[in-house]
Amino acid sequence: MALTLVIEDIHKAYGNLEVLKGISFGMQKGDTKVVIGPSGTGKSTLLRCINRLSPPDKGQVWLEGEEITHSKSNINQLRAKIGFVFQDFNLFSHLTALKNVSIAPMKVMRMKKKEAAKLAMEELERVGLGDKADAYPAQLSGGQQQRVSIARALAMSPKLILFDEPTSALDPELIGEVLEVMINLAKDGMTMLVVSHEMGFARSVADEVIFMEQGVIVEQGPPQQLFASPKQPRTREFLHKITELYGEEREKGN
Amino acid sequence: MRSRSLLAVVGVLSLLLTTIVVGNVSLQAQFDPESTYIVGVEATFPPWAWVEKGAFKGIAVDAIREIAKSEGINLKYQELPWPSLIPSLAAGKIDLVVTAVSVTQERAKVLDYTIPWWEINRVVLVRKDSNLNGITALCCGVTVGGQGGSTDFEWVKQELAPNPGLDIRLREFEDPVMAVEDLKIGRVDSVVIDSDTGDKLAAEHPDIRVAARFYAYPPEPYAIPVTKGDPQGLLPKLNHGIMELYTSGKWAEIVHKYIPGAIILPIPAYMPEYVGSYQHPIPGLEE
Amino acid sequence: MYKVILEELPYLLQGVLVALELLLAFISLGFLVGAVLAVMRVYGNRLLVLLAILIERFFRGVPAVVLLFLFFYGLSGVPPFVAAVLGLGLRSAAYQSQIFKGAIQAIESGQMTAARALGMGKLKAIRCIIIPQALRLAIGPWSNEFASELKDTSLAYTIGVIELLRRAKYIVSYTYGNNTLLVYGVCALMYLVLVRTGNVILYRLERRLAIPGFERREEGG
Repeated sequence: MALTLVIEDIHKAYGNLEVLKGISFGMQKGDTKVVIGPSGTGKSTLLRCINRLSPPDKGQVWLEGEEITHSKSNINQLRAKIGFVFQDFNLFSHLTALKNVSIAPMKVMRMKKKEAAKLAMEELERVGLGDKADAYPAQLSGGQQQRVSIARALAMSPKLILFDEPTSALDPELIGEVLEVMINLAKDGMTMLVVSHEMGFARSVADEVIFMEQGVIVEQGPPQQLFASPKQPRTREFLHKITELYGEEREKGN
Repeated sequence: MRSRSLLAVVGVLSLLLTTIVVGNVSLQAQFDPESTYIVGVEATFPPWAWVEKGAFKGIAVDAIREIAKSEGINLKYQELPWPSLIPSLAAGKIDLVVTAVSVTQERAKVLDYTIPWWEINRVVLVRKDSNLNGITALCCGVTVGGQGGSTDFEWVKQELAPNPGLDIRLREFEDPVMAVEDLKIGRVDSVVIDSDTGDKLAAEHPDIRVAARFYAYPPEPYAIPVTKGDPQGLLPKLNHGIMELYTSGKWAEIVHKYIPGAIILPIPAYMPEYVGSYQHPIPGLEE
Repeated sequence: MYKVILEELPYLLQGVLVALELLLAFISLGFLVGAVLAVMRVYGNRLLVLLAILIERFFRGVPAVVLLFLFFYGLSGVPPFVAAVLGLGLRSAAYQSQIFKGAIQAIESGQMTAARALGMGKLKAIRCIIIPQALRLAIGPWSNEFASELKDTSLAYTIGVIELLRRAKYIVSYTYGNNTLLVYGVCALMYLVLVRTGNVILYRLERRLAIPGFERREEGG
């Protein structure tokens, strides 16, 4: 089966600090993969390397057979096929929620205004925010903003959505509404690569969990296997710390 | 919507800008460049040239209007401050200058002159309550003011100030009225200025008086300057027009309108040798 | 004494119109060129950045009157008004570009990143996402610039633009300086009214364009 996303031997350094030291994996259509690991191990950098927001120093990335990392690739076109959800939402502050979602279809996919507005409304309703279409980002809560940003990504009918710690900047009581949207997306068959600390989410919908540390993939596998019986000692250490931090109840609750 | 209204504002601004700029340029082009000449006027020098309620007035202005009529020239007036007048003429941005312009050797190098129509003398103005006389007003620690670039002030600058024995300080002004303002409040002790303007100013301001009158030798004439080489061929017309004005008596009429009782000198007045356009044959005059 | 002022009032008010016309024209020029310079400065490659810096340095470093002379004497067949628009306009562009640069840089970098991530090209992102926000941020500091530019219109008399101040000078001249303070006082009053009106308009504009939920600056600032 043709793979949606292929990442091969990605290296990235910032000055003298090597952040990614050879990352490779693939994703099939409909896969949901969650990347976990200590902070600063390059997880966010990896996501940004995939759509070349931070071009990798070495290595290649293919999206449905097209090489993103190629110098002659039409990067804008390729980026349009990859959704990106940021930790800080990054909604366009001067536009309403509706406009935020419809602007890319209009400007990038050259959709007509009416069509785009209709599409935007559909996506907003999909994330449960149809009634907030005319609100500005500053008038929305963090959880609402993040859901709008997911709708914004969905409006482009992406082949893959990258989530960069989507709930890390949210107040605890707002995390649930965002995770709910993400779970539904995964169940609907969206191909998702999620960097997150939310183990409950990983447990419920991830096809694979990837544990990264110090710029390399230490271990990867289906969540039940990785969480229950991790093979690597470092994986075990990390999971221990996480469980202590978040507590058993949260895992069970999700 | 809001971005759109912003864009609209920007669009309107650009449109406005273009219209204004183009409008001004095309207005310029309306005048047939062949027969319209631009007259530079310094409108802050009464009684020779000033602006009252938007209309140019003064001896020089009335005279040039008459000349234009009799010689059939179209004129467009451009007002400029004194420091910009001569450079604009030299650069060809204007075709002639109509105000009180003295004939000097330096200027004759970059300009050509019509026949002179006036001669001036110099006065020294002081405060009425000061006891300065013609000598003490120009020496011994005083500050002398005048219009920068005028022959009167240049005389002070070049002939008097460099002499350490005289010990004077200078203060330059853009026009004579400002110099007199500073004289009144004591920032300068005396003002050196041509006699027509000086007498008028002394008459208008009871708190200043004429301390001395200098008769220039050789005489210092006024004339109308044009660009060197007379590229527009104005000299013949202007000279002819000036003579017409004089012989018809209109010149005396105009002068007396502004300086009643003034002595009318025969035209052409004193013509210094160093001016090229005073060598015979003089353009526009029959020999 | 007062009679003269009253008689000359229409003439002076015409001068106000000339000043406004000049201001509008050259500030628009400054706006367009300034915005381009700011974008060049923030988003351009090394060559564009260098070019923008050189242009800014020149037009900010040369006194306004000298610029006016450069354009007046340097360009042939150009009437004083146009030379004034060009000279003052390009100078204004240099100052305005600093304002816009500050506004653009005040926008979080995440805005540009998000736009690029959606597939927008750099120029499109600048046009649709950055500039609309930057313009709103710029209005505040821009009103200061507007006030100072309005006062700069009086410099145009040096190359023959007969605006308000020059007309006041005429009156002082032919009355032989008998009412200097009064005439210039009236002049000052007119400039004051213009500046205040302009600021009020700009403040209203800022309010209308404000994004709901964001902080606004205080009036009179």
